[in-house]
Amino acid sequence: MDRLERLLDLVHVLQTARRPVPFSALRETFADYGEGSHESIRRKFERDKAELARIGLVLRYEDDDEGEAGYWLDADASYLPDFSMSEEERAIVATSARAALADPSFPHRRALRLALAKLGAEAGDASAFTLSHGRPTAYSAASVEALGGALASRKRVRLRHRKPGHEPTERELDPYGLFLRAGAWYVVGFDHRSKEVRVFDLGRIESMEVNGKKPGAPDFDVPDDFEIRPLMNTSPLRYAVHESTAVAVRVDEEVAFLKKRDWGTPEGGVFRFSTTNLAYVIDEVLALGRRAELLSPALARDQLAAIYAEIAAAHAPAEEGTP
Amino acid sequence: MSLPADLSRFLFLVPFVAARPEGVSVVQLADMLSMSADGLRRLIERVAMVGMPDGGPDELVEIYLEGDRVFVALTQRFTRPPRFSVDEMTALLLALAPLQDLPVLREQSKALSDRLVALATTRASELAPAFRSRLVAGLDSDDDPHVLRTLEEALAAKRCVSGRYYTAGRDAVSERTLAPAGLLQVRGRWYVADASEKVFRVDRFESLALTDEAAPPADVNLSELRQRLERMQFGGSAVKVRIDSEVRTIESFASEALRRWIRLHRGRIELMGPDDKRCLIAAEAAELAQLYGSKPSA
Repeated sequence: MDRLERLLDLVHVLQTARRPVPFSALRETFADYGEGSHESIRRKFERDKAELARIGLVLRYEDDDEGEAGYWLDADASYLPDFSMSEEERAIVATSARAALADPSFPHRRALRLALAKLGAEAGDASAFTLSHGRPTAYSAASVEALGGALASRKRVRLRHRKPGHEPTERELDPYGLFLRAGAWYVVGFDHRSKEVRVFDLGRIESMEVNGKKPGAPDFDVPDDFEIRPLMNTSPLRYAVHESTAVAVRVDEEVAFLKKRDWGTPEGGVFRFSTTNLAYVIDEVLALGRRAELLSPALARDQLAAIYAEIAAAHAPAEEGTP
Repeated sequence: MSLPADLSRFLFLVPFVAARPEGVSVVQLADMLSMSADGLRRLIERVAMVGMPDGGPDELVEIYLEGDRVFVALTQRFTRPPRFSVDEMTALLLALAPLQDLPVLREQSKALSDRLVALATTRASELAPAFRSRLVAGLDSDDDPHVLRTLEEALAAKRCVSGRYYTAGRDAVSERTLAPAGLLQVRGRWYVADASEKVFRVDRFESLALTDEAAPPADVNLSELRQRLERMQFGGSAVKVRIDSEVRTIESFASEALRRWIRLHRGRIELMGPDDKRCLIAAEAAELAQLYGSKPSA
């Protein structure tokens, strides 16, 4: 008998029986449980039970009124109860689902479609808001799903990570959390190479393998005080690229509010802060153009001078006689 | 296809199709189940005898194909789909997570998430707290919660808002009054669309307050605006640029946004034309090169 058919038959028998079904009765009903030693048949039945549990069906074992022990399927614990949603809730689900399904990197898209069908909901835009995850081609849903699985089962991951401009490094990571921010997925975890909690952009992970040994046993514990949100909201100013350096940037008063969340409060029109990622500050100053002047460090001023000289040279009027 | 996936599909499709006496098209059902039409036909063949082992026809689930439609005539108590699996619950929670940014909608979205978790399997419900705190999507700390709340309130009350806004395309700050027609989140960043289909980035409001003015009825296509934002198609006209050695035509760049884009590419991009815009870039870059070649301003 096809195993799929046997499992579905088992579900049918256990959900329609008027009283718990003893294992001996199942052996009589199912030819597949009738042949072989008691131990091998028992193992086959246990594997079938595990398969049903894996998809969330709840089999219970208890005595019936006459004191005979047997199995039954708890339909309330296994199947969806009646559920209805308000119009507003439908709009929330529809809009959120549309954005997720439009993003090829969104994990468990197949599962999301099935969940929507179970709810009788459809993906679409609501009247008052719409969402888009963005950067859809930078990640594979498979890697997000694999990390999500490792996170749930607390399994260690071996990954190959490449920082821009650097050779790739092999790392072992205990994944504590995953987050999507501004269209990019990140994994947070204990990095055994650096011996500290680090954040990695999934777009820079070249390959990844979840530890397949002892699948039922976790490889690590997540520290009780671990919180993902502070790490999610870490400013790029704090990314560990180099030693901390002091920075001063003058910004026009009119647009200074754009930088207050990241750079603090200016004094006399000058923001003073430290960073371990000067390249990010240079980008921010370039974005502001004439509205800002980076005052220090001198090294960054030299870089800005060189960048602007290059742009000016590229756009200089062509001299007569040149093509 | 994997055994758990096929089990889940059968348990879903029997009550789903049975509730539709007119049947369901193979293509539609296959799409819903993320499988091919042929895969669905094979699955239906495999489960044609499900029911009481060695039972008569009236003790089996009656599922059959007629033309390009699937029908279920006898459900044999397969009348409800299974509760949400771990993957289904994870996907639902993740999909809803970006709404946690919106102060007003947050409560509604959280309450809905709680109701959905209550529909999950025991294993999924057990994992839900860890997943909700450690698997997070969409929070963007750059957006001011006060501004987002004001916009949500304005949308609910159909009122206008006013505040100071930085227009990056013109590099100018000005007082704006707008009639919010909808909120959009693109690449983790929130925008508000007004009744005239102008789009404003939420983090560029210096201040924002509700006014007493009623917002006129608006018929704004948010999906279309979202697609334009995804493609960065706003303002300005087409320009020709050289990126490294390749010449390309870039659509729709506002003047200041174009200059900023070129600055951020640190000399890798050359604007080929029009000449007036090219001259402006050259003049600005020469001025700033001189500024940074000198001692810092006092």
